[in-house]
Amino acid sequence: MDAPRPRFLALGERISRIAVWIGGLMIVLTAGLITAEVLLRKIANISTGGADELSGYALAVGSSWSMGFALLRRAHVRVDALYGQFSATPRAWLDCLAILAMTGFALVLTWFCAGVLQESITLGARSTTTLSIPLWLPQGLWITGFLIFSALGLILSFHAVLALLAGKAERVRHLVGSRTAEEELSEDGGQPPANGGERC
Amino acid sequence: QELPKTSFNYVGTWGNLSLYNKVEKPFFEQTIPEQSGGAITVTVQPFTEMGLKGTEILRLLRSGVLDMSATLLSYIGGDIPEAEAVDLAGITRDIDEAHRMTDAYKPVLAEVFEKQYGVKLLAIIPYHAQIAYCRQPITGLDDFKGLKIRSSGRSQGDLIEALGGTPVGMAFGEVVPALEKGVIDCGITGALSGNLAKWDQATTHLYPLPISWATTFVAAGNDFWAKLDPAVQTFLEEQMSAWEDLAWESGRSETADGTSCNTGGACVDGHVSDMTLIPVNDADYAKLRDLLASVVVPRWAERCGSECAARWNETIGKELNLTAPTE
Amino acid sequence: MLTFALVLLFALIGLSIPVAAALGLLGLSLDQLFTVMPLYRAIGDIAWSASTDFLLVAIPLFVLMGEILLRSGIADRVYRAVSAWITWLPGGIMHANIAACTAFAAISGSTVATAATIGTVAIPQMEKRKYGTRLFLGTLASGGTLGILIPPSINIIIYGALTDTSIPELYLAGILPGLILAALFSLTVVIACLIRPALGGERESHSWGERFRSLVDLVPPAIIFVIVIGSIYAGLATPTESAALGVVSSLILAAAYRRLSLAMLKASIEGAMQTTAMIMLIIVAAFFLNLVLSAIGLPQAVSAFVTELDYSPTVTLLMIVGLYVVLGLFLETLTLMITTIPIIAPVVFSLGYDPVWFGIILMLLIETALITPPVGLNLYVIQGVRGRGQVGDVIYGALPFVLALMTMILLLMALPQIALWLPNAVY
Ligand code: NA
Ligand code: NA
Repeated sequence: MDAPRPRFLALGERISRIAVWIGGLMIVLTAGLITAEVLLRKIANISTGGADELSGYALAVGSSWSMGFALLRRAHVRVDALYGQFSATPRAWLDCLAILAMTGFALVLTWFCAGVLQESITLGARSTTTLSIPLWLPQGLWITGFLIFSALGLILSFHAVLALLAGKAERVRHLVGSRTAEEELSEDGGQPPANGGERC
Repeated sequence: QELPKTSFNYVGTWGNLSLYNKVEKPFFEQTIPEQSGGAITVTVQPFTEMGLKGTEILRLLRSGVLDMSATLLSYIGGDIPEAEAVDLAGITRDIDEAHRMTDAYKPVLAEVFEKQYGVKLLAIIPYHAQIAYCRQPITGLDDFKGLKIRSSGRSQGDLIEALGGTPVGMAFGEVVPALEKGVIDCGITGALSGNLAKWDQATTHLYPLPISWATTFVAAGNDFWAKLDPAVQTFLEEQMSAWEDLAWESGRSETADGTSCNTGGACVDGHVSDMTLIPVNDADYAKLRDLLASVVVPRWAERCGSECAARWNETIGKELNLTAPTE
Repeated sequence: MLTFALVLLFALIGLSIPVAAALGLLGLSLDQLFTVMPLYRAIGDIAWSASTDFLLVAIPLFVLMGEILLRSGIADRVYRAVSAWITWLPGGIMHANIAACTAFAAISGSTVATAATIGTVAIPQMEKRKYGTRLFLGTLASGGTLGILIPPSINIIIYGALTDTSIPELYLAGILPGLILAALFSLTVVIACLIRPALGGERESHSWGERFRSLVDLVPPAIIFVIVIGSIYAGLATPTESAALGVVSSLILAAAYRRLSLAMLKASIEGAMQTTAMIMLIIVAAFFLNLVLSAIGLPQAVSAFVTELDYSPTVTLLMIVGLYVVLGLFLETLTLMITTIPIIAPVVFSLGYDPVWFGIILMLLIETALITPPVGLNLYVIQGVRGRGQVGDVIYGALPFVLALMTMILLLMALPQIALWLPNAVY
């Protein structure tokens, strides 16, 4: 039954993987830009002006573009104190509930963030700094990330609910289940959990 | 005359600063209910308590989230270039001049707010003079050349660049450590608020020329305003007009108090400090006027458009004898 | 209303709804039920202003730096070097675990990176040298928590951003308590091994020559620490900027160790960005929830309640500490911080406590939460690195260190100068 559909899932996975690299590259560039700013300020007493503003945009865009990937890697943290006590079937139900709630929240967020973009276009808004950047530009990129996130949420919800109805608890877990520490290890080739890892 | 029972929310500025505690809060919490014979009640909260930064206020008024609120004009300069008009960096010599400019331009701003952005402008009030605190000796405007100066808002940046300095954007909380360690050389903030935030302890020289007044507007969402009883509208407008004058007096006394506290004089609200007060001479004012005419005003006019520049020329420009280019 | 909010929060979180969605949905429900303002329309504006906050730019930067250091092989070298110096103590290389965590904490912004990195290197030693499993694992789980107390620290940045407290001062305030806590952890090991010598495994012996040669391996992390932390106090950079310097210098270090490759960079970016996305989504949701909570007057109600109780500041503070210990059992620490700080911190400050000092107390409480079950991330990280046996071993092993943390909290309450002396001396 999921014969033609996984194509969307595969596409979603491909897009969110590309998105996370672009998002990550923005953060790497931000690190470079800020370092340049610090060095130039100290050595040559000049300011590139606006490194702080640009890195703020990089944070917004970089994180929204990575949200889909985080969903795919099941990195959005869930508290599994109770969840851990259940057997496979109730877990599958909770997993479906979790992805539906997350998708719902993603849609709400996308809708209202798109409102911010629309407002910026209506107002012709620019940033209040010397760069005076038209806000639709960073905000448009930002929304794109949320759109990818929402679309992926919808695809995953669809497959998870189908699998749940078909009684395939293992498939639900594979799609949207809570990550266990062992899974985090195996995915990273024996390295310690680099992903769920750094969460403070 | 009996006013109908009305209640609404007012979200004010920073909860830890005097503008909110001494000007906004008493007015909305006490004066309005008293003067309306208990008919009008206001729930008052500073935006800091709601986790807001103040830059979102205009949009929250537009979308009807907030009934009535206040924030810095410079925060919305990106959305409404006209908002910068009354408080362009270095444009006024003293608070009386600032008050006159504001009064002259208020109708223009009210029209822009209402027609283009759907919010009702109710009052424009100053915070107090925004002046430069420096960690090294300066004698006048020329000495800002080559210094790194923490500033906020577009036109402050333009002015600092025109002076040959480097404008640095920085969170308020990072300024004192940055001054102490020399990441920046000077910072611009309120005469009294800088004292209260202990900027005086990280700096030595105070340059009292008002760069700006951190002018704040109070506005209401159009939908909210339209639903009010006309008698209530009239009442609120009258009350706020009287309150506006009080706020300007408060701005005057706080500017004087802050400057005096920082430089070892009489001190009411701050703590006494021993910063060196740099006298502002006529040559500085003349130089500033040149930079305004050649850099700050033209750059702003470019952002605002020719029609906007023309209206500025008719109002503020006429008073100051300055002309913004209309292309 | 408070009861309703708490019940709904625990129901959503208990159902293992992702934390960000749970906070967002809680905010939306409370908005619908308890306010007249259409606050939901503000979500977009809140999201934009929170996700472009320059202070928070430090989060992806430190996370990325941690990912790069994790893959650079720096941990092995640090571990070997500290082993050479302190394994003569009763408890042997368990002290090296703690010391290596302390050293790594000084270049890492998070606890989990610290625990995972040192854990990977140390656990093979545990088996080879026949150490008591539980205590050994406990040193790693608890040593890892030093990562947020000793600067740099993502959690300190979040605290500073939420309470408008100077991050450079907080950083300085964390150093001394961090070192004392590390010493307390070591003392815990010594006491445990004096009571039950079997817990300590074979000890290594090192010649002085070996020891001094090993010092070379401590130079690179020392350089990174000087760049990241020193740049702030030398007036070169703000705390956020220093995080960017950290990323660049860890890339240089990885290149020097010949570990830098495209595959390594790709893995680091993926790991860092999925964590960043997760944290930022929670932050956005929590900022919206905070708006709703303050609009319905919850922080004011809590503050009024505490004032009405009229207990002495010390008693009130002890109650708050107790509250955090209990909440810390069940809540993930980022959630714990973002949901409680806006409500609790103003109450604490109004009692006259120093914001910098309270920030350090809070870091100690967060550290406790990280190693107390059922929700204690570091326990699971160490168990994950170990890869076999029961998580219960780590939990039992960490318990003595919970006592050490409690001792440290009481010590800091009795002598606030432990935290405040250094920032006061510098500022
Ligand atoms: Na650290
Ligand atoms: Na816990």
